[in-house]
Amino acid sequence: MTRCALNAQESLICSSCNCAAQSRAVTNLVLQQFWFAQFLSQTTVAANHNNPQDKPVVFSESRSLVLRIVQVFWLHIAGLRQQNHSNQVLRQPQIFSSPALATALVACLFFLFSSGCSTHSKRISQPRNLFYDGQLQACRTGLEKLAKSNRHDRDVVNLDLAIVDLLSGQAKQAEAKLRDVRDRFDHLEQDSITEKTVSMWTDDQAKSYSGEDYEKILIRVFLSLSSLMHDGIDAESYTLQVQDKHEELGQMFAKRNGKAGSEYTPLPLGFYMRGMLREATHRDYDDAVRNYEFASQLLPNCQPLLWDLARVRNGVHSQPGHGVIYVFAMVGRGPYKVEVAEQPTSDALLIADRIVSALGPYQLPPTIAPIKIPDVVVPHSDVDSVGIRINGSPIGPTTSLANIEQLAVATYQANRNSTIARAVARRVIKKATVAAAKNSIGKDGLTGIGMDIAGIAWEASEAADTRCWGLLPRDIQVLRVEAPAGDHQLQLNPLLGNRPVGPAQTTPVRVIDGLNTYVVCWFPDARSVIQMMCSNRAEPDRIMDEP
Amino acid sequence: MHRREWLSSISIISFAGFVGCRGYQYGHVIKPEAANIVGSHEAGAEVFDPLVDEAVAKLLARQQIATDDCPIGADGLPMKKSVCFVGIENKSAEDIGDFKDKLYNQIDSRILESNSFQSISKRMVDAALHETRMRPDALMLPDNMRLFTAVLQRSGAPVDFLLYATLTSGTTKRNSSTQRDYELTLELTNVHTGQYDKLSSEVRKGYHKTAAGKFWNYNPLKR
Repeated sequence: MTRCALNAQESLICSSCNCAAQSRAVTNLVLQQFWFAQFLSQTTVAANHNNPQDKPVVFSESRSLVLRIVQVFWLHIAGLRQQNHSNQVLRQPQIFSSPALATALVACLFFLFSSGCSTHSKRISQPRNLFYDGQLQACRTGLEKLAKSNRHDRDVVNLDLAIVDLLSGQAKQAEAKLRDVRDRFDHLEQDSITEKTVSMWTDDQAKSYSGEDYEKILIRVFLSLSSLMHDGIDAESYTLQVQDKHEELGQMFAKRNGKAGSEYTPLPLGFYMRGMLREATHRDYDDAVRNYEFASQLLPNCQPLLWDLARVRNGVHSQPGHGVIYVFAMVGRGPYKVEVAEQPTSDALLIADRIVSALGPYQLPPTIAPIKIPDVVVPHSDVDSVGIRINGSPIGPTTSLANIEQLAVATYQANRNSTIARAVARRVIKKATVAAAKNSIGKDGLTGIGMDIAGIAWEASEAADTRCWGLLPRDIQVLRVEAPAGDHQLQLNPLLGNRPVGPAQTTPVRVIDGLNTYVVCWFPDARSVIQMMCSNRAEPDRIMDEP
Repeated sequence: MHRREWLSSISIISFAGFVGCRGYQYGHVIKPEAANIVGSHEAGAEVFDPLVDEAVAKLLARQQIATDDCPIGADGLPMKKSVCFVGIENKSAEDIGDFKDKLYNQIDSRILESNSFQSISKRMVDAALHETRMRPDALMLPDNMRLFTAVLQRSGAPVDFLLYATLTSGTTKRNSSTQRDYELTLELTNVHTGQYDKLSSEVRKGYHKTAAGKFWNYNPLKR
């Protein structure tokens, strides 16, 4: 039997000697760690609170890192890394026969798999700002450059490019891009164990992005809108695909969560668009009723939907000599993902790795680099609806049919735990790799410190997967106006609490007897440049004076 | 862990990597005589094809007898009656999605192929509905019917009959099994006399949560 090398005050779990004070030492260690973790979390939370929402939390991150390093050194001084006794007791596992091989492996893993600290949210911020400033061409250039330079960002960048194309009048190109991404996302719904394995050695960015559920629905909604803005040939098919996708996602939701699919909440906008197109046939009112009923069940307090429902049950699309204008208003800046440090989990992992290092046979690199996960940010918006006037006569405000902010937050909350679990598992794999390499070449001396530093750097190279469709609005709102056939002046005014908050934008529209005219506009906020597109633009000299 | 064990773990992971690669999608052309896929959640071609076949065949058979006393044309053959197929109304529990237009074309084509009827182009029907701003279900009102047929007449398509198709369903549930009866009804109304004829066809279908559900509910020992 080997004698325990530690004194009674600091001895920990040792199967050989069963020292009496080991449980007290463990308790002390955990309490000290807990105190530091609490202090660290509170400091970080306070720093985050003081930061503006849109600014990266660089200051708090660096302070957190410094505090963490102090914490690790404090632990070192406290003498918790002295238990090299167990190394002599237990037989060391030998993975690598030579130190050179082990060092080379860790170095290779670090250099091969370190994906850098750059995230999609950082890369996309400049083109996004250009878009909101109304510089569509500059935004397109930035996005195209990004799509070429980063393979893993290509799909989400193409989605953003499709929005730029749609609002700059290139609806056909927008449709083509959206169709490509739709097919890619459908393909990527299949699991790839290769990518999952690689992501465990790197980060979630190594996996191909297959889109959030709401993005998959919105791709089809925007496909339908893009089609309506140029020829409308495939618009009905896209609305059918919206319904198919809803059904498929509901089944996948039920399978994933082991719950009934009824808990899956679809987007009312998809049903509304299907109803809108079926009503426009002047024949399939039964389909319109069915779809408006679905939408109305999802938004029971939406009065305009009830009007639509009453009309398709008993009335007609429009009176003879009249047509209909549908205004699709994209209101506010949409949600996007940013990288945040998951402080409580990082602290817990630090405590765990220190305990394992102190008690077990393995010396793990300390969790200095915090675990990074994506978080959803919804920028503040000073526009909540759009007021519509036709030839100067007020019609009313638009109504929300797709609250993207709510959807994005709900999706994030539903997946947050699994994201954290993946991040923790990844850390454990990395730590185990470094520990195994250290054990093969000896954990004392400069080599051990070097391996620890390499391990910490490898862990720090992780970045959160912040890929998302960045140029979505906060809300998609709709207003239906029936107007006499002819050319009209359509005026759109950003509103907050039914009060105008910005300059009105006017566009000429042509209403065709018995048909729909579609207007797509984007109001990111009261000061931003408003983007607008119309499926039947009128000639300004033929505008009617009266509605 | 020894090197050999470590290498074997890596090999397993690599193999799993190859096994888990994303696959491609493939397609193939189905031979005409091949049976349709039976939808697991809702009705598809396996229900709608026989419904249309049976309902249209019944309609044509009955109208064949009725057309024997119709006026004779210049060529010595009985003149075909002009039918305006107004549309299909889905009142079933399921959304038929893209089947609606397919069913319309299927019924329209069968009628057109028959010797009894001459159907009016769907585009002309749509244009008339568009012009009159009438709902299909409002055409049975005498004034509306007169206006609608007058518009078609003016376009060079006189109407003798209005044809409506209605899809309905009835659902019976028993624990984890469901039986749904699909019925396609064709209603033919003579715009000159107001007389109408009605024919329907039915297909029943069972949906089960377990593979044994079919045997359990529909075995010969059951009542």
